[in-house]
Parts: sequence; C-alpha cells; structure tokens
Amino acid sequence: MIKLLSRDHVFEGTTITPLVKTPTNRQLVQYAGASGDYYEIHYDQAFAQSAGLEDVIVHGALKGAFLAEMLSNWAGHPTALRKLGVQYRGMDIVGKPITCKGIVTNTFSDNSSYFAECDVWTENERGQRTTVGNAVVNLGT
Amino acid sequence: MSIITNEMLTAIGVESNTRTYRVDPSAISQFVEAVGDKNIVYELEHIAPPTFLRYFDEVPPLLEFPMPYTNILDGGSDWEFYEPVHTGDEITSTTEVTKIFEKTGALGHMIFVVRRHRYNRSDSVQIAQQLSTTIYYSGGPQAGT
Repeated sequence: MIKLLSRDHVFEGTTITPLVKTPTNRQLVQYAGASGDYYEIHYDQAFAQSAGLEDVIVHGALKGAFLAEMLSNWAGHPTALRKLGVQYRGMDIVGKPITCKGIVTNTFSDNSSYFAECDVWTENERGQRTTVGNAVVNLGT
Repeated sequence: MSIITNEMLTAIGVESNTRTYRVDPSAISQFVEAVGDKNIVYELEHIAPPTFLRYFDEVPPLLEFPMPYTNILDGGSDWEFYEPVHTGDEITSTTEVTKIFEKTGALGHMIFVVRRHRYNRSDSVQIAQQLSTTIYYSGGPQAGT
C-alpha cells in the first residue's frame, strides 16, 4: 500500500528534505544515453571549452529529474508528483555539487484529495539558483 | 526587428504525426541509474520515474519550420503527470507548437518555441503532458541548458 506524506505534517513554509547530487562525467554520458540527448556540450570537454565553458555542463532535464526525485522521496511515492515546472536559468558544471531544495507555498484540497504547492530550485556551490520551478504534490490523509 | 516568420506562425497549433513506443524495462532501469535514484519502487512496481517520458522526445526537437539560428538551449519544461508509466506500456505521443516569441539578451537574439507534448497509453488514457521551451539564439552559450 502506498503511504504518502500526511497532510497533517505539511503547511505553508514546510521545507522539503533537500537532495544533493554531484554529477560525474560518467553520469552525464549515462543520462545522454538514457534520455537521447547527445548534445556534445554535456560530455565532450573539448567541445564545451571551445564554446567558452570551463567544462561540460549538466543537462537541464537531468536537474529536472533530480528535483522530481527530491519531491518523490519527500512525498512518499513518485506518483504523488502531479505537476513539475522548471526553468533552467544557469549552467551547472560537471563534478560540482547541485543542491535541490523546496518549500511549501500553499496547501489545498480538491474533491477530498489534498495537495501541496511548492517552490523548488537547484543551487550551485555558490548558492546561486541555477534552476527555478514549482510543483504540486498529492498528500495523504 | 522581428525575425519571426509567417512559416513559424503557421506552425502554431498544428499537431505532429503520432509516434508510438513500447516501454522497455531496460530503458527504465537505465534512466533510473543515470539519474542516480536509489528508490527501489521503480523495480518493485515496474514503473518509471516521472520525467522518464523525455526518452520519447526528439532531442533536439524536430524543427517544424526554417530557423535562422543553430545554437539551441533547453529553456525548461512544465509537466503534468496523470498516470504512471509501466513497463510494457505502449505510449503514443504527439507534439504541437503552442507559442513562439523573441527576446534580446545575454545570448544575443533569442527565439523561444514552446511545444506541447501529449503522452497517451494505447487504451487512450492520458499519461502526461509536457510544455517544453526551446531557445534558439544568435550568440554563444551563457545561460542554462
């Protein structure tokens, strides 16, 4: 039986358990294959450096997947995630930690189901928000 | 001066051909491993992580019209998830351009193309929807991808 995070524990201002990821070159190659995004800027260092970058950069969609993982873990099951919107505002260089964070901005009910609206984002090691977004998560009773 | 063409505007609202995929268990496990997600629920319940459906998207997107810029960035996605994807599901997807607009900024001149991707199961149940934003630009990469 699926055990979702109870609405009794979720309020405006509740923080979502953070998730830290440090993508490796190998991981970016794996994600390229798993997602079909073979843009060289994610795994070819010479290509990335010729484009003026320090090193290869993390796929935006991989950061989106990290945020989905954070929300799924927090909510208790991946099917609790109903909406996820992300905008990729900054680059994340391979090998540097990416911290996924979120906070509940509202809770509401709809036809006897309960939901939390959240702001979510990723931060690089300098605390800059490289991805910003929002999510809606189904809560348990 | 705007460089949005009539061809671009005519493409708005035109649905693509339907593409069909069968969800292979190894595709899910490779995606889970690539994300580094240690949750065993995917293996136990034979389901895919929420954004797995990216696997069925053309990356970069197939261009529906001539585009003057070859530099491209993923601007982001807005997902709605209705039903989980299971191993063995047959998924159909269609794409349509919903919005095109332009801006000038750090990347030079940018054209934003927003596309709606609809994902249905073979029994016509809607699985998910994604609004993806692709940025085509004149200058070098400086923002997120």
